[in-house]
Amino acid sequence: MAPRPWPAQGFDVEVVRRAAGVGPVPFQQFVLKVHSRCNLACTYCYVYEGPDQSWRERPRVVPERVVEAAARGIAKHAAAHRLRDVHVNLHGGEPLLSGPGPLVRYVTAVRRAVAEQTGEDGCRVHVSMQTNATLLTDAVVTELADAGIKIGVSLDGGLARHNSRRVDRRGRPAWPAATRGLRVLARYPDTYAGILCTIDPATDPIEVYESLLEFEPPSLDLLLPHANWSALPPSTGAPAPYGEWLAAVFDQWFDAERVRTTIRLFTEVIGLLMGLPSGTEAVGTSPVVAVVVDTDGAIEQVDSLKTTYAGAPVTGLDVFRHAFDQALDHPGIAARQLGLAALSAECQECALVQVCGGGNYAHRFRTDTGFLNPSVYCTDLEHLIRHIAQRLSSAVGDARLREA
Amino acid sequence: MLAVGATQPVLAAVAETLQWRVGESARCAFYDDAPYVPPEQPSRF
Repeated sequence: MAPRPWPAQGFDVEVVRRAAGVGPVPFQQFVLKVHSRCNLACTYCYVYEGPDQSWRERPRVVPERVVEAAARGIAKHAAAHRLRDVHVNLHGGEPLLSGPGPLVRYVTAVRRAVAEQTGEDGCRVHVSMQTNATLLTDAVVTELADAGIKIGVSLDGGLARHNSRRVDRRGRPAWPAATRGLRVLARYPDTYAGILCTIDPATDPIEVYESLLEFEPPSLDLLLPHANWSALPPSTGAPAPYGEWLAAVFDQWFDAERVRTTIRLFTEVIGLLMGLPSGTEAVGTSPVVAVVVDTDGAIEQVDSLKTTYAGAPVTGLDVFRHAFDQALDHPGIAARQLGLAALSAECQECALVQVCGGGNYAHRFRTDTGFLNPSVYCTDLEHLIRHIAQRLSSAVGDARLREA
Repeated sequence: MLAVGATQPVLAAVAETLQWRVGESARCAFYDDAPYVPPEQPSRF
């Protein structure tokens, strides 16, 4: 069956915004693709192994004219909306495939353009990069640190066997090179952003968590594997394998006698349970403010949509002919800024909706109905949220939490 | 917001991280497949 994805069809942005009582929220996070290829060939990679193969048509390295146009566009957006902060994330493929030079030049161009548009004391530009760590050396980290670029690393766990699916094109494990790079990075705590780890429910959660801590990450992001109702996640047969996995790590983290790292997902859920707004797309109903600029200058939606259907992130816009404001009116982006109104009826009636928020948008996809569904991880999210609510309730003695 | 003692150091740290969000009427959600850099907390003074 051909995709009929809500909100790509039958979605009038103005009408829906009016009904929801919301307006567009300016972008504050710009994911800039620096290199469209990778030196690894991870067997589960959603960019290269997923339904969207658009990477084949893109320039390998971002050309100078894209850099300049993207920098101008970001600066104009920041000035027009009087933003105090924007976040730039350098992504690939593997962004270090051409060395640190192109990254530093991209960032310099953005900072210069933003300063020209908003003044030296105007909008601050915070920069980070996501890498597989295999190309990190002292010289590379130093050059990135000098440019004010923080570095995040993707791993599947802290042991070789956790990373068996992270291999190069010849099938050789990336683990030895990645650990060398991580140990270099750990010597630069001011530049080390943390580790991003996608969950494999077949692993021992405590072993994964404790082994990752050996690399002293200031923060740890535990992500659900990208999956949806038409491409189900791997299952262990347990009722809520991902929720149980995360709950086990939560207890290990929460009960520690000292703070060893920050875990974004847990912090956000605790905040949401206390009635605060979220700051991550994984939970809560806050408007998503991220946009992607690919190496050909295309303005796209976030990469995780590539796991749904070919072309899902496309907006038809680019940095040469369009302003980022125009992307705010794209149905796919507007839908992610609607809060509760973007959720299915089932979600809207759920007692946990303000905390869960329907989960990651890409995880709600179903070929016939698009994104108007609960998350494929609904059971897991409910398990985790109720677990955290119960632990939090015991810790702070707030009876209201028990009602969640 | 969270009145917790030293017996829960992680929760105390989380409360400190979240403290500055109290009173915010709106907040934005950031893309997860990017490094998480905890936001700088505004000065208390």
